Amino acid sequence: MRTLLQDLRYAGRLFRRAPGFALVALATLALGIGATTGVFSVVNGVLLQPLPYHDPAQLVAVQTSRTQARDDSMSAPDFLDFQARNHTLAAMAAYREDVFTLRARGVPIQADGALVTAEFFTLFGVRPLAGRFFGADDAKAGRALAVLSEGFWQREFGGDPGVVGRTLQLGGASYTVVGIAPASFAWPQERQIWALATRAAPEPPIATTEGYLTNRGMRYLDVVARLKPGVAPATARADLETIQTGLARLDPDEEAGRSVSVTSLQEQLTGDVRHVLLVLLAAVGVLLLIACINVAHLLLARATGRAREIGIRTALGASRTRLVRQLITESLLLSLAGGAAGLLMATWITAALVRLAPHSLPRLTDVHVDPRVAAFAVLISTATGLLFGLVPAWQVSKAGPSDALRAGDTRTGAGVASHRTANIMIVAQVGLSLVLLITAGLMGQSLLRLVDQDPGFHPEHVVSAQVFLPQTQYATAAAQTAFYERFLQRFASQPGAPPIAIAFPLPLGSGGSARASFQIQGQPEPPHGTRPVARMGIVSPGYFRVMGIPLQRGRGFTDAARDAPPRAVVINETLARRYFGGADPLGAHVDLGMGPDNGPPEWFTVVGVAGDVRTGSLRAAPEPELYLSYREFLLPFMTAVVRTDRDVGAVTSAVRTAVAAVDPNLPLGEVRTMPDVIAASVQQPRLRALVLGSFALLALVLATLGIYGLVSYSVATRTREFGIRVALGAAPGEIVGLVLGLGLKLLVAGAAVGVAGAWAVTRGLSGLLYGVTATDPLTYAVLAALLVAIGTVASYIPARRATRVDPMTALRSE
Amino acid sequence: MNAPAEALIKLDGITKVFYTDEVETHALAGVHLDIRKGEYVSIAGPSGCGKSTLLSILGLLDTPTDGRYFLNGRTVADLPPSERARIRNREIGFIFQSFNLIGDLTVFENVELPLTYRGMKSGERKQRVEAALERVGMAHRAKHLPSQLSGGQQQRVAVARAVAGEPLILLADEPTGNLDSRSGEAVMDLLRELHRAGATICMVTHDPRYARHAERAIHLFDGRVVEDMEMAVTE
Amino acid sequence: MDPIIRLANIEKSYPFGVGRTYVLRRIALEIREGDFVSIMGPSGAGKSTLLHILGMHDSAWEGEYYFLDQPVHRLKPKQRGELHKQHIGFVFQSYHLLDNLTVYENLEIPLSYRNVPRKERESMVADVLDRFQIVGKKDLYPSQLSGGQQQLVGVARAVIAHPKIILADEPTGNLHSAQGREIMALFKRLNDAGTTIVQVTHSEENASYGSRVIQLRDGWMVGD
Repeated sequence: MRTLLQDLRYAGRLFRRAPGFALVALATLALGIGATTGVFSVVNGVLLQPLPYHDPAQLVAVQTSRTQARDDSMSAPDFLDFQARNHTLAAMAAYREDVFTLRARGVPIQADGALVTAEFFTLFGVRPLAGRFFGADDAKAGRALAVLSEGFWQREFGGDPGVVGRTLQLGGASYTVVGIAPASFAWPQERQIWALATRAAPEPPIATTEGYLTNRGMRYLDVVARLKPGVAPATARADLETIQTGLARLDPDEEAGRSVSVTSLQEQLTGDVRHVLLVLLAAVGVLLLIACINVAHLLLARATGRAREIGIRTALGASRTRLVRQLITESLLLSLAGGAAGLLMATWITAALVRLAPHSLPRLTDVHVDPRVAAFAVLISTATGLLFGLVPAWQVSKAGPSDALRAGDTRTGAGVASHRTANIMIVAQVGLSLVLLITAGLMGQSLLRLVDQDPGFHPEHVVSAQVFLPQTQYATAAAQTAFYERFLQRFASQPGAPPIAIAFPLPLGSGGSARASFQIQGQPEPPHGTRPVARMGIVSPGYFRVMGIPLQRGRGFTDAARDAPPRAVVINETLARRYFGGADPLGAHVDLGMGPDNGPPEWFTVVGVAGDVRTGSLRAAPEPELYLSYREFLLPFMTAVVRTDRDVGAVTSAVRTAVAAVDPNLPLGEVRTMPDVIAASVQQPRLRALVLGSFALLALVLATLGIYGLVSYSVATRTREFGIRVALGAAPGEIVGLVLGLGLKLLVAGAAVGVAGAWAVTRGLSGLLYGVTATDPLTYAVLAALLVAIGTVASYIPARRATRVDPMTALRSE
Repeated sequence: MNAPAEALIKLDGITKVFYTDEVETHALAGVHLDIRKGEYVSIAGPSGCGKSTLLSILGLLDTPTDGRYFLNGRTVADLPPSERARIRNREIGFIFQSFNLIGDLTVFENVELPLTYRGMKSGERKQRVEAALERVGMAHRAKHLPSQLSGGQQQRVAVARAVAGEPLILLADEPTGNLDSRSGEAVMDLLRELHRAGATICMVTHDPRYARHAERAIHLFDGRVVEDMEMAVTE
Repeated sequence: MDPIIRLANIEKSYPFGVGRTYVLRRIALEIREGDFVSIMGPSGAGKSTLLHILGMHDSAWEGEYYFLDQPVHRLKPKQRGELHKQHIGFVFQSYHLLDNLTVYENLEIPLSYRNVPRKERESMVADVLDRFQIVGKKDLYPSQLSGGQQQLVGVARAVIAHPKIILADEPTGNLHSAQGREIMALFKRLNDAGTTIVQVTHSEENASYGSRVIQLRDGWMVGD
C-alpha cells in the first residue's frame, strides 16, 4: 500500500513535470471517451433500448399498402375485419392523431392528441399514473372519455389529482378524464390527450356524409397490435395477408394489389433515423480509434525517452514486477483521470446532442449517459494506456539495462520496430481522420446546396399561423368553409391589413399532405387503380400572390363564390409537362374522383399553371400538383399565410383578433415565419452536418497532435543522426526539410488511405447527400490538401527543434 | 615534413562556461592556440579537462562564451548558423570516437552526404566519393551498410567521409577510442598518411601511444593549455 | 580471506560476419574484501563491459563467476537480482540520477526496492545526507546541482543500502580535477571503512587511490 502511494506520488510528479504530455494525453482521452459515450448514449436511448412497454418485442405496427402509392394508412372497415378475423394477434388497436381545442386557465388552447380504440392502452400494458385507462365496456356504452399525458397534466393542471373524474370540453364536446398516462408512455409521439373513439373505430379527420365504418377507400387509421406469445411478425403477416386476399375479392377496386406489412414497433419508430444514427456511431467509433492510437503513440514516444530511467532503476535493484507496477500505476492514473474528464465530456456532449436534435427524433426523453457505455469507453482507453504504458519495461527487459544506460551508443532493433508500428498507426490515423473530414464535408455541402435550393416561392416576409377547426363543433364542410370565409373577411377588414391567404398543406411544413388521383378528359382511361396521382393543394384566392408563386399561364382563383360547373383547378408546371406533353393545358378538363363512387365524372377546368413548389421537402424534386379552391374542397387544418413587413407579434395578434371575432373559443395554433419553417425542414441534415463536422474537427485535432507527437518522437530518437548531419555541414533548412519530409511522407500516405477509405465508405451515404456526389473530386482534393497542410505545420514545430539539436551532446559517447 | 605556414587556426582567450541553476562550470578558461597549415596536433588531458569542448568549438559545433576564433584569417565566432554550417561543410572534416555513420545509409551515401550539402553535381560527387574510399581502402564495401562493417572499417569510412570534401582541417575526437589496438593502429597509420599528403590534423586522445603520432602535443588541464610541445616524430 | 568475487575464464563476444568479435577474453580474477581495484586500459579494451558483468547488469557472457561463493553463472535472473540488490552499489560516469526525483527521493529509491520499512528508510537517508554533507540539497532536483554535487549524490545512493562492494564506471570522467579528487577521497574513506571498491578509470592519479590495478587491452587481462 505504501509503495502504491509512493508510485502514485512519482506518477503525479512525472505528469506535473511534463505537463504537455499529460495535457495532450488527457485531452485525447477525454475527447475520445466523451464523444463515444455521448453519441452511443443517444443511439442507445433511441435505437437499442427496448420500448418502455410490457413485453415490447411483441408489439407491432400493421399497415397495408400498394407498392407504388404512399397510402399506408388503414380504413375503418379494414381494421375491423383484420381485428375480427386474425388468429395471430392477442390484441389490435387503431388510432388517429388529432388536434384538440380546449380552454385551460381561461384561454383557448390547442393540444396534440389522438383518438384511440378501447384496446389501445391495454395493448401496451402500461399502468396509469392516476385513475384508469379505457376498457371494452366504455366503448360499448359509448362513453366519451379522455386520458391526459403526465406533462400536459402537470403543465395545464398543476398535477392536480382532482382532474381525474372532471369533464373537459374538447372541441366543444364533453369528455370525462379517467386517468393520467405516465411520462414514459409516448405513443404516438408527443401526445397530450388520448380520447376514446365513441364508435368501433375513430371517426375520419374530414367531414363526410358517408358511413366511415364501411368506406374502404377512406384510409386514415394507424394500427398497432400485440402478437400472441410465440408468434413471429412473419407468421402474423401471413395470417393477415390471407384476410387481405379475401378483402381483395370482396372489393377489388380498393383492396386489390395491397400487401400487408407487420413491423416491430421499435423499428417503425426509429426506421427514419436509424441510418443517420448508425453513421454517427461509426464516425464516433473511428474517433475513439484515433484517440486510442494517439494515446498508444504518446506512451510509445515517451517510452523511448524513459529507457534510461528504467535502466537506472533496474541497476539500482528494481525487480521486473516492481517496475511493471510503477508503469501500471502511471498509466492507470492517466487513464482514470482521462476517464473522469471523458465522463464529464460525455454528459456535456449528450446534453448538447439532445438539445440540437430535431424534436422529430423519437425517444429523446429516453436518452441519458449510459453507465455501461461509459464503462466500455473507459475500459478501452485504459487497456490502451496499460498496454502501451508497459512498452518501456518490455524494451528494457529485452535489451538489458547496460544497453539502456549507454543508450544512444547503439541502435537497437526494438527502436526501429516500434518506429514502424508508430508510422503505421499515424498513417491509419490520418486516413481515418480524412474519411471523417470528407464525410462531414459532403454532408456540409449537401446542407448548403439544400438551403440554397429555390423552394419555388418567396419565404421572406411571410408569416404562417395554424388555424385548425375542431370537428365536433364544425361538423360539416359548409360550416368549416363558412368559418374560414368569415375569418378571411374579418382579417382583411382590419385597417392596413396585409395580404392574407389560407392553405393546406403549408409548403415545407410538417402538417401532412393530401393526394388525389385524376383523369384528364380525352385521354384514355387507365385500368382501375392505376390513375395518376398528384399532390393536392387547397388554397384561398390570393395564395399564389402572398407566397410569391409565379403563375406561368392563365389565372389563379377568384373571390367569386363556388362557381357553377365547370369548376376551376390550377395545376403546376410538372403536371402540365408530364401529363399534357406539348398540348396547352388551359381549358382542359380534369376529373378528380370527387363525385360519388361509380357516378359520372365531375369535371374541373384548368384555369392556370403555377410554378413548381417544393411542397414536401427541399430535397425532393417537385411532384405533379393540383390546386383547388378551399370552397371546392376543404380540410379543417388550414394554415393562414400573411405577407407583411410587420413583426411576428403584430401579425399574430392580428390573426388572433380575426379568429376570436368569428369564434372566441378557438385557439391559434403554431405561428412561424416561413424562413423558420424552411430551416426546420432541414434540421436533420443540419444536425448531421453539424455533428459529423464537430467529430471531423476533433479527429483533425487528434490527428494533428498525433503527427506532432510522432515527428517529435522521431526527432528525439534521431538526435544523433541530426547531430552528425549538422557536424557535416547540413544547414538548418536542410534539417527542417528532412523532418518535414518525414511528416509529409506519412501525411501523403495517410491521405491516400483516407481518400480510398472515404471513397469506399461514402458510397453508402449517397442517400443522405444532396447536390453533391459521394465521390466529388473537389471535396476530396480540398480536404486532403487541408489535412496535409495542417499536418505539415504540426511537423514544422519539431522540425525547428531538430535544428537546435546540440551536436556535441548528440555525438559524444560515454 | 611541411614547412610551417601561416596560422590556419588562431584561438585568442577562448572560454566556455556552462551554467546550471546553482553553479557555473568553466570548461575552458582562456585557451590561446595557433595551428598552422599542415600541422598534426594532438590534444591530451585527463577526463573533464575540456578537450571535447575545445574540439567542438574548433569545429564550429559550439560557440565560446568569450574569446576570438580566427579560421583561415577570418573571425568565425559570431557567424549566423547557416554560414557556420557552410564552413563546417567545406572547411572541416570530423572523425568521431564512435564513428557516427548514419545507419540507414550505405557506405557510399555516408561519404557522399557532406558533398550533397554543397549542392555538388552527382557526377563529381561520385568521383570524389570513389577517390576517398579508394584512399582508405574501402572502395569494395561501397554498397554495404555500416552495421555490416567492423569498427575499424567503419572508422575508415568515417575518415573517407571527412576527407572527401577536401577540408582545411581534420578534427578527430579519440578516433581509436572504440577500436581494438590493431584497428586503432591502422586508423592512426591512415591519419599519418593523410598528414604526409598535406592534411592539417587536430586530434584529441588520451592514449599516449597515439599522441606520439603527432608532431605537436598540447596538454589541457582544467580548461587551460598547460603544455604545448613540438615532438620529434617517431617512425 | 575468502574472495568476494572470483572470475574464471570469462568471455564476451558478439557475432560479426562469419566469426565473432571478442570484447573480453579469458578473464580470471579474484577480488577480496577490502580491495580497492582500478581497471585500466585504453578505450575499447573492455573495461566497462567487465564492470557491467561484475555488476550483473549484463548477463550475456560465458565462463564462471562466483560472488560470495554463489555461482552467478548458474543463477536465475531473479536470484542474480537479489544478490545484486543485497551487495552491490553502482556509480556511473554520467551520474544517472533520476531527473524527476529530488535528491532525497533519489537516495530513497534503492531502499524502497529493498523493502526497507519507512521508518528505517528515513533514518538511513538522513544518515547518508549527513555523512555526505548534502542535507541542504535534499529537496533539489539533479538539474539544480553541479556535476560534482550530482556525483556526490550518485555515490551516496550507491552506498546507502550498505553494499559489500561498490562498482564505479569512470566516476570522475565528467568532473573537474578538484571535484574528481573529492570523489576519489570519498572512495578512499569508504574503502578504509571496509567497503570493497572496483573502479574503471583512465587516470593514473585516480588509480593511485586504490590498492591494485588491473590492465586490460583488447579484451585480455595484461596486468594485475
